[in-house]
Amino acid sequence: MTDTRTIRIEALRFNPETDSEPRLQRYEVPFTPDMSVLQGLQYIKDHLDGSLTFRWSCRMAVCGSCGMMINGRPHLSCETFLRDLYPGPVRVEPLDHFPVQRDLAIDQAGFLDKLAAIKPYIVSAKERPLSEGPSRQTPAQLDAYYQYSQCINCLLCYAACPQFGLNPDFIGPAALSLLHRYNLDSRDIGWSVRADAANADVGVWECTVVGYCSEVCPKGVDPMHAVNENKVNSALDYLGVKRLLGGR
Amino acid sequence: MKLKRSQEPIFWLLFGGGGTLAALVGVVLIVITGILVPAGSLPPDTMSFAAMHAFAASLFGKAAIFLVITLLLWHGVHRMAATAHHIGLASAHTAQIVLRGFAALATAACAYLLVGL
Amino acid sequence: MAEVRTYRRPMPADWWTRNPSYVVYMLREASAVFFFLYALVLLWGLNALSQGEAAFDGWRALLATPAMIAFHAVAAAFALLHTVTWFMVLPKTAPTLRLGGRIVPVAAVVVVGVGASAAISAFIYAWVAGILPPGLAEAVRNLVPPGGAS
Repeated sequence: MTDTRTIRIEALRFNPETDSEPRLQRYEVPFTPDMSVLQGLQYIKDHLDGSLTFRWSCRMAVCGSCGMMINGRPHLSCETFLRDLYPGPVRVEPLDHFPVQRDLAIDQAGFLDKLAAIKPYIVSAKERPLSEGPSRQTPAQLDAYYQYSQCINCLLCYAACPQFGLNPDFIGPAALSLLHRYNLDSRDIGWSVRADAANADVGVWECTVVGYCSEVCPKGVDPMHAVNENKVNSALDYLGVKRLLGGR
Repeated sequence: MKLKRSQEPIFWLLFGGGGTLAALVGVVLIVITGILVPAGSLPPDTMSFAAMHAFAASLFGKAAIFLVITLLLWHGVHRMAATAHHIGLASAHTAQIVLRGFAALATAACAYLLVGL
Repeated sequence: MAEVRTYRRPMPADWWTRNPSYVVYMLREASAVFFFLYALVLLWGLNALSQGEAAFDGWRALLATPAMIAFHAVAAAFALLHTVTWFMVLPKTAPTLRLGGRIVPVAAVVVVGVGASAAISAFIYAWVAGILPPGLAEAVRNLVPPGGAS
């Protein structure tokens, strides 16, 4: 093809069985204008070096698997195009602030614990029998949480958060956004179910409003808003007036 | 996960109160007391001893001086503690203890001075 | 299951210089240092005031030195940055603002907030400079005895 060009991709390599620390490896990758960084990595794996490790699944910004640092910024590699980075080089590294498992794959275990801690499911006041049919919501009730429900757990926001980098125990932007998403859902009991996580020293109070999380989110979620709205909720709870002033 | 309740709300409310006060009157106060009055651009008795003494003797004056000085201090130390941690000067905890301890002492001093005027 | 060996990359001390978003954040946070120092200058003045006229005049003479005027000029610039950024963050502490079913943009909150700050500033300046309209001046005199403002 005439519109094939070549770009250099520098990938961080780390093999936990043989390496004591990571190094960068260079690959010369031919690409066409329709190729994403993810497709560049797949070219490397298929044609140049089968040992390069990275996560991916859907190729269309839905699954949240392929997040990585591309030239020092957190991006989904499936929706970042090599043509936009030409002439390169393109430096790809695992997401910042996470332990590196192998090459571009990070250890997500800590995040999964945090996700469990915020109870990412609807907790209703009473069991609803199936015979009652679907729980209906008005468009306004859906609007209240819709933005936050778009989170795909890609963890770009954690790579954008220096507070998480400095304190790995911080529950962090995505999990706190999902905490807010369920608290705002009219089918959920709300605040009291997840108050212990929000109120914790590793909860909303670890945030210093850098705001970069909201800039890098590929799905338009605003974690900075979720976290800081819950600082007010947590402060009211602390003063014992949360219930008096209402709100979810 | 172990979750321990944070004591931050009380300091965050002071930070927020100070930040709002600073956003509303910070610029004008700094320009008046720090630039216009020292440069002599305002009436000469604006910050004279007699004028300020009378102001600090009034209830409104005491309240205004106390709120401006102490809330700006608590606002300042809140962000400074985070920054000290960010640039690696101290742990978040140490920075908070030192700076908040200082702000508490300064608040007491401010109250003591105002009561005496 | 065997523990997975991982590599934790250290956070570089200069992390905040590596991204424009972090630099802007640190500039915003730096405003706090100036408010802190300004509050100490005022506290110092209050202390001088309590010690008598000579001490107070000494404090005022110090304020008139070029170094202190320069400090206050820089502090005023950071205070202005604080005013704008404060109203950018403030709406994030409240549920999404809606007016007539539409989301109020952050820019509108900033305009209202900075506008309120400007109005209050104009009032304080007019009060201190003694150029308040007669009606307002009368109301202020009832609240604060003549003598000036802080």
